Amino acid sequence: MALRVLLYFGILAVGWFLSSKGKIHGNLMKRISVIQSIILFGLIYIMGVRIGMDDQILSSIGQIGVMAAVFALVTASLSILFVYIARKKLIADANITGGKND
Amino acid sequence: MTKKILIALVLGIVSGLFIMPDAVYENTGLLMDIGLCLLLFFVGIDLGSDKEIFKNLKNVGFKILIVPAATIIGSLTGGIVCSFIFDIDLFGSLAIASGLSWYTLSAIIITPISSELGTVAFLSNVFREVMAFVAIPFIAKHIGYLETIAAGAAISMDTGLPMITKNTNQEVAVISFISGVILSLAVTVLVPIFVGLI
Repeated sequence: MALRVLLYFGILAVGWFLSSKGKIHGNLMKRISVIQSIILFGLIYIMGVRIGMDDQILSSIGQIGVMAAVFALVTASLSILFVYIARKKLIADANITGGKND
Repeated sequence: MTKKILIALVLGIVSGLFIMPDAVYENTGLLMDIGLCLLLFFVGIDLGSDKEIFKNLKNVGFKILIVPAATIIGSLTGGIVCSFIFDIDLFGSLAIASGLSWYTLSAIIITPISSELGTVAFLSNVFREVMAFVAIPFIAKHIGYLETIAAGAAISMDTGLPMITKNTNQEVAVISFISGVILSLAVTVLVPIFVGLI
């Protein structure tokens, strides 16, 4: 876990350092968004492949899938609600709230 | 964006079900790791191109911690609600909710105590990750940027980070990474505590 966090942080830091020092070619900078999208969709596709090939997930979806889906929906919704309430009361910077405080 | 994500996910599931040979599964983990590292590298490049990010974050200060704290409190409240909905053990329900999208770890810790709860933990956290992917563009557009972090919780530092970056901005991406690290650490503490109380 700690090693993985360090690896992710290290990779982010290398990208950040190279970019902040102007070491990234202008043509690449222009295509960053497209490249990110391609890799992102590739990752989501692979995630789907893993779900489709995982017998444990597929076999249990019918039995306890509804329970798990409700758990996911309730926990995610309440997390969103609590963050929404907290940032409404405590964070006013429109740049990080997305301008939804108005 | 959401449509494209759903299409990619469905295509992946169909491919996994009907096309891919079994041997592919073992390599998907490595492929995801490589893809994720590449993506984080490009997110880093994106962050480095904006000189104002850290100046802006200094103005927000320790309020950044509000996001992971509220995310954890919200999830645990969800766990309490679900224990009443399904009439299951309160601490078992809290252990599932403490997974915060990190489905492998939470399921691994819970399964030795209860296979059923372990499977629910696994599936619910898989669902939460998938739901977050689908919902992040909508949440960013209609609710707020910081709420995108709450949706996926622990994945905000890795698989969810590119999606959050794409739909918000660089400041939120930095908050997302920091929040994701805190939330992932919280999973390693909270799940064993609640499992111990079952």
